[in-house]
Amino acid sequence: MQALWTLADRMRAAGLTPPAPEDITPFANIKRFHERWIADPAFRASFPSDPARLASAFDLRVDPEEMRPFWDPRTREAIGLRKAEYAPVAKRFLDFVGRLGRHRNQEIRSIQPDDPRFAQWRTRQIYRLNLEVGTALSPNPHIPLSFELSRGCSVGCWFCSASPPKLGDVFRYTRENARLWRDVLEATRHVAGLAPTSICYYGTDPFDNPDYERFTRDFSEVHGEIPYTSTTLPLRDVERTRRLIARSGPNRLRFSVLSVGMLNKIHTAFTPEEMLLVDVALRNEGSTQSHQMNFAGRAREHVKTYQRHHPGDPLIDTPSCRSGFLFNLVDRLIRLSSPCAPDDRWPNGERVYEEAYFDNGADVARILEDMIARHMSTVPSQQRTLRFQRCLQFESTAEGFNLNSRYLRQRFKNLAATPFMGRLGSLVDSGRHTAEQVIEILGPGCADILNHLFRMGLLDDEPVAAGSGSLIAIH
Amino acid sequence: MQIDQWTAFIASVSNDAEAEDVLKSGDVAKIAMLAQSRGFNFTERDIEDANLESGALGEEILERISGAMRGIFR
Repeated sequence: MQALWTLADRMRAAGLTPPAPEDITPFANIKRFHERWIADPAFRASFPSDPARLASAFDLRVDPEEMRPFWDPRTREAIGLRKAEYAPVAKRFLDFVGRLGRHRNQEIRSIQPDDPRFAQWRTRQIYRLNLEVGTALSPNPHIPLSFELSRGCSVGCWFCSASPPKLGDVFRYTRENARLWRDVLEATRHVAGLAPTSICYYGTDPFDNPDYERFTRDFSEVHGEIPYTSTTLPLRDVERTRRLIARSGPNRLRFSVLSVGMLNKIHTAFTPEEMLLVDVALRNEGSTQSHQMNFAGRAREHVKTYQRHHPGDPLIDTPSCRSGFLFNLVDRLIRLSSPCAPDDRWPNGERVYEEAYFDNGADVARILEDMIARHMSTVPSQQRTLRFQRCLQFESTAEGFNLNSRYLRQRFKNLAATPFMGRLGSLVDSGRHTAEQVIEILGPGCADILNHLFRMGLLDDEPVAAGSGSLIAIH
Repeated sequence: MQIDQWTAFIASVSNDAEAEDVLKSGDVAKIAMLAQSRGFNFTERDIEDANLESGALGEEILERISGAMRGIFR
């Protein structure tokens, strides 16, 4: 049994300075106020007209005047124009969340698979996705590893991007399964290196597995830390959740909240201080976070419900945070995938490059190496017909060519060293030539440019249907 | 400007409230100066090539709090 740590212990373990002891309760209360404000449309409608009464009615132990920048847009505007200031406690709270945000970004920047082919492939996926959906200030982690410890999910959220079946089998912590789990973790460490930012869920809920904590303990012994957890079931067994909170550091635990009623119960079950490091994702109708809800997976099957949550044009971002290998331990399945904008071909917002089944740890090592060799070449395939990614529009110019996405125009110029640039762009855009043929036409000097376009994620590497391509096939 | 540079620049700005505000202002001259201060040699035309109107740059303070508390996953 791992020790239950204080909040300060958990922050120091993550390399962060904890808040001053006298700030913990005020910060926790501000965070709780913020959750209520985001989630509850009735609260937002009535609070400004009678702040003191509403704060008291919802047991929000904050000074409404100190919270004014959070609920009064005019005060926010005045602060933006430097005509007003945050209350000192609000300023310290914002500094605290800023530190958490920077810590999150550092964790994401530290993700680097050990295998150089895997690392370069993941970087290409990051660039390609940024061209598809835009480069976000809150970066997508593109985690290299994820593990599902059950088949399906008992919750069945109407918007779930993974769109899993109902809960079926669960991977229990038997002696045989524990050995297999260890073997899988060791095999993944060889290609991904230490990967503490992994997750042991995806189209599953961690708390559907009664042995989740035993698996994550093994995970931490191999990969260095307890993995990140997101659950929609924090209320199923409150004491179990409480133990998980007490072991979870900053940026390590999230509750997904489906209704204001569920938020009420969470606020009753857990103290504000317990919840200070827990991310609360407010997925309910009326939440101001509804505009972040992707039109992917099951949401595409519930259009009217989606439109109630997200009026106007649907959000075409990716719901996926994974560029790498997913393991389902029940089905003994390995899938190589990467985030993309959801569409008719990839409705869950993930490109699937390949799937394969394994029986044991030796299989896992072999399959990972095979997939890396097939899909993670560091130069463009000599045989595959070259094209630009389909999110890019080719534009021939007098200077060379441009590649335009919705979010960025990239210019490629004819220079003394690259007088063939415009022609090269046209040849790739024609979709009729392999790299070998382009080099034959333009000469060996263009190989470096093709490699550069490839490394920038600009050349099409989208999986093709089974049997229609020699490089990439879904088995 | 190319996607690797733009990606690196946005990462350098993330969670720096003042820098994010400059980016969201859409003022290409100020953004180019910000980029230079971070070691990126962007021209104003480079900044114009990035479509700042679309994409995920439009966070307000409330969302900044949510974003910072979000953990690292979506």
